[in-house]
Amino acid sequence: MLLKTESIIKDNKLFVSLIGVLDISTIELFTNSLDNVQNVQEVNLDFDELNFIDSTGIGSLTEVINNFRENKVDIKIKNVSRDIFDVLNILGLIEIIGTDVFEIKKD
Amino acid sequence: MDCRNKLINSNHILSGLSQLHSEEAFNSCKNFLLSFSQGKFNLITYEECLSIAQEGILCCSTELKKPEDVDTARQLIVGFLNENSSIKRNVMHLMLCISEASTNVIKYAGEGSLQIRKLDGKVRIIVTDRGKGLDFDILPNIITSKGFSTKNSLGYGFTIMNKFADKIYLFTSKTGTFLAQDFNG
Repeated sequence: MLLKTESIIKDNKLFVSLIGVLDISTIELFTNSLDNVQNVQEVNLDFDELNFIDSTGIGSLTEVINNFRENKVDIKIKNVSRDIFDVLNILGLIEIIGTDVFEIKKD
Repeated sequence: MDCRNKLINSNHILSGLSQLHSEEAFNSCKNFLLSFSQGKFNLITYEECLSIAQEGILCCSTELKKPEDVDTARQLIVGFLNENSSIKRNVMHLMLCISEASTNVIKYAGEGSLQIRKLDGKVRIIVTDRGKGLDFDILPNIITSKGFSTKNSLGYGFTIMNKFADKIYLFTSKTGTFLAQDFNG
């Protein structure tokens, strides 16, 4: 399996760690892991062990972010590597979603 | 992964492609793309495609049939760069370009194949498919796409390829598409 997700809910906050790659072969697993999320006020995605993302993965991430926002759920993405942040930036996602959503991984 | 075990020869990779567009439409599109990309993006003829497909040494190749094959393709370039230390490129950038090109094949054509060729001081990544090809009317929109600020999902991949590749060669017809990306060492 190219992607594994680990989720826990604590104090109405959902924490999801992504381990592996986010591309055409894993976007369905990614979105399924966030389906049926109810009664949470905040979603935290941890990219610490996300090794790779391409434009298909970013497209899926965009949909997820927009869906949560439509439902008034805050979303934060932490431990974003510099390489992945650069790709998000090239495709205009940082500008569209806002820099405050992303937290760059510390070296 | 030992990529030498999975070779697809150049003649096979091109079978089924043929030139169908009018010369006027071709030249108009070619000039726009060249100008917009400052000489990087080259729309090529079938004859040029035959030549570009056979330059250099074929190092590895794989079929692109299912989504998981995109990762296989990415691992081929990792293996290639490990074996060719003289080509000093950001591995992530090449993985991205391979991923985008391979994903487009699976998304829009269903299946195709990928080759990695070594040329003098550079690496060439080629993907081909036998899909319906890209329409010259929409090609400029695809290439000028500004990522997710537009609705054109095909353009996202080209935005990335255009950012990191040093040269791009595209041949497309109603019987398939050939895309080569060159990365200087």
